[in-house]
Amino acid sequence: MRRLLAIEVRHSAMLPMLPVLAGLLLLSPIARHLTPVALWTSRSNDVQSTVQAIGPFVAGTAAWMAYRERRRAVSDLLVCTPYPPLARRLATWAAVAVWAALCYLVNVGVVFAITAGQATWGRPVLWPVLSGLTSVVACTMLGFVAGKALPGRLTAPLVAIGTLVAMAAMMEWALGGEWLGRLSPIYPSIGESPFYRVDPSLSQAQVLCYLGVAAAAVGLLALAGRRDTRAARLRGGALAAAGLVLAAAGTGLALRSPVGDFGHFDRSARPASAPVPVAYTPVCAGSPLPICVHPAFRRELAALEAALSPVTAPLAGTPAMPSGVAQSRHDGSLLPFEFGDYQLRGDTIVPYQALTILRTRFALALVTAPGTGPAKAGAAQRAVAAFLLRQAGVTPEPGLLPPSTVDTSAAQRLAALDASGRHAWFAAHATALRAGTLTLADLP
Amino acid sequence: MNIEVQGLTRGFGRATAVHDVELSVDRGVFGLLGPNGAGKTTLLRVLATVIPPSSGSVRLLGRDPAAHRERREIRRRLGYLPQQLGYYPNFTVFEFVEYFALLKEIPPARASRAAARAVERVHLGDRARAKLRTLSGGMLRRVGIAQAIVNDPGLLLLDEPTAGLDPEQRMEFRALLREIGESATVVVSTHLVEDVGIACDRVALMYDGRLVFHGSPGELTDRGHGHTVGDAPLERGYAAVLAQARA
Amino acid sequence: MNLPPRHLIGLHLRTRQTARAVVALAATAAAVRASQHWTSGSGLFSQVVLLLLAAAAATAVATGAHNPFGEVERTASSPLPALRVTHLLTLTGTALAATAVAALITTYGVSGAAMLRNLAGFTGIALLTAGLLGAHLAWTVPLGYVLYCGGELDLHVGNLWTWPTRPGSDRAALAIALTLLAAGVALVSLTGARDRRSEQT
Repeated sequence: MRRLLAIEVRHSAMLPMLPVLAGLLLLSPIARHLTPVALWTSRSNDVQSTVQAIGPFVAGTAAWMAYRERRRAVSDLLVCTPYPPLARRLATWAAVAVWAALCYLVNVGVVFAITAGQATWGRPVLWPVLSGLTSVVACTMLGFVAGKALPGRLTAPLVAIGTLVAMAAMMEWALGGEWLGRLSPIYPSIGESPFYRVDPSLSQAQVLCYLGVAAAAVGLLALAGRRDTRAARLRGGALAAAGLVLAAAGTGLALRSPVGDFGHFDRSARPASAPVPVAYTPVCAGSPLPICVHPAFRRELAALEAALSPVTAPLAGTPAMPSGVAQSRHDGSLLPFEFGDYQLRGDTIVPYQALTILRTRFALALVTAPGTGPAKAGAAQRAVAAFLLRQAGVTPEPGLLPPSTVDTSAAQRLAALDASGRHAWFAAHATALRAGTLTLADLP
Repeated sequence: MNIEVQGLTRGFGRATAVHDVELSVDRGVFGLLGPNGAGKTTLLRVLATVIPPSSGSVRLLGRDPAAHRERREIRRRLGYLPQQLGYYPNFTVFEFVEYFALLKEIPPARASRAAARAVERVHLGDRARAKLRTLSGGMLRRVGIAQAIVNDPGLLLLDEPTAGLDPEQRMEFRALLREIGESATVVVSTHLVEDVGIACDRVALMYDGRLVFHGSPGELTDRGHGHTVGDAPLERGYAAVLAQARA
Repeated sequence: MNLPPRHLIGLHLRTRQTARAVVALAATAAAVRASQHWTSGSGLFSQVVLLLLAAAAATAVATGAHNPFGEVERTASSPLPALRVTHLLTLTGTALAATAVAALITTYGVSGAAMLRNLAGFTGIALLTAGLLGAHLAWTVPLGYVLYCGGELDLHVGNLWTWPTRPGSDRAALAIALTLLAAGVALVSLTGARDRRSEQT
């Protein structure tokens, strides 16, 4: 079998596909925008999600290889050899699977190598990687079975496209709240928060499910082999049944896993389970506004300080000035930033997109009571927030601080004050401002 | 006897391709002649265990191909070259023959040597590393012969083996057949009467699915005495037997 | 260029398994219709599924460009480009008509004009792939391009490189799609799908 496999590997149709896959992976969002905060957990989910590029192509290639004997008119030659037909077919399939797995693992290696140079805390999480690997193998086997069942030139493209549609459809189910959709190979299978221990239960369920599907497909291949012995077909049937049981077990485990909602813990569905906190020592920087974060976000300190300190400049020396900004745990949150004193629910700091959001939320948090959402900020609070942002050179995020809701003249009046006047005003009105008892008339 | 066939019939739907054939063949080179559609290829495919007979009994190399284990044992000692040779274009000559050596369960340690020897025997040693898609039709045919003989078969079935070969290659091929025929049974299905006359010890003629002649090439020649159709004695014998079968 | 006789056109279409391709195109259009529940929004999934179905239809057109006869056909004296154009336009027209019907019957997150434009463009890409790499690989570049467009949609990036994601009224996107279609039809009509000896079976 080894020699046969070596010949098949040398001549697999996967070889010309490898440059195509490499190009796709290079152009993928993951490669071009590797999540700015280098969390091992999110990078592990990222490599798992590359299955959406690899899976369809390897499935289509496997379908094409399954059809090879008929396409090349070698069936008669092969039939009259003593080599077990199933073993011969599996050698052809295995060659595709070997290259597919290699492509995936090289991709993992590259992403992890990059992450090793960027991450400041934690270590690689292998369960999502394993989940991705088993899903790639399952894709090749399903594609191969489809190619055997429906030999023809249109089978490979339909299998490839169908694979991607299936993955995307399952993801869409998951987004719609269907727990079964979390079995999609591109669904993030672990929580990304560094504050909590990684729960691999969904990854494990996915691995079981994909292995089961692959085993069932092998069994089906054996069962359908007309030229195999009856014993081989019976063994195939047993394997197919075992595979289905395994897949069902994986599905059951997925339904019981508390990991859901894109890495969040769904405590409403799984109240008995809770994420297990991981101890850490925050790292801090910045003056006069000290900012402390989880060590996983150490590299973001400078950017955070540059983003937030200017917003607080007018508040220095007044009661309105925060004593510091400390990132705190948030239950099951995927989000890398939750500021303990101010319950922000911001997005990832992605400069091209969310820095403005973060600053706007921060400014609103400075002028409102803890727990007050942006929508509940009063007119005076909005005007002061707008002032804080504008003086820092930031245009407020329209979704959080719509221009129509901001009394620009009030903001301008604040801006028109000299530094000592503003200082005095904030010193006198900080508490009332945050309590929401000030009106526009109370602004200078 | 390496081939024992009794009452062999093979049909495809309503058409009967081979009808009630009886045959016993021992070591040597056995020629199978007949016009297009006579059933030669179907007979060969049954002997090659590609398709089972619809009825009748077949024993090959002393074994019953209907039983799985015995069929597998037959296939270990079987070589078959079909009329339409399929191949994998990106394989090299050597790889293709080695691939079939492995499929014929030659131990991996010996498979490479066996493949190299088979390639040399068909005089393609200098093209061993050439990809199949770069070869001419005649060379591809020789590759097909190489994969058929790689396991030193006890039963070698060749369907139109000399198609595409030039005269010199045909002479070399006939010599190869005679060499193999000293220790094995070789069945050659061909339209080329002169190949049969030169290389074969025994010859059968099929027409419309039936065996209408079975004997030596000399006996076939004798049947052609007085017959005017044909450019050579064996051809006249061939034509005479066919004319009688059609009558 | 004189038109080939009707009988020859009919035989040529049979050699390209046109009937099978038409069935595949009808099935793709049916899939578009059936997907309406999931593709009526303008979200990422909706757009990607519609692009995938356009790529599937394009692949069905381009895969049929495979020449089963190899050299024999190329050495014949009949006007092959005319025959190939007839075949390609028959299939492309069928695909566009089927998609138009599906788009008329119900609404999707993407306008009917965009769907037709994308089908035309993807058909061009698939034909170019068939012409350069072979009919059996016609699906690879369209599928890869859908993945690329999906990624760009996810990143909220929209430019002419992702013309399929632009609105149906976008003239530049339409021009690109039509250019791709014209280039693909021209290439495959003039040279046929790439046809190495290895692909003659």
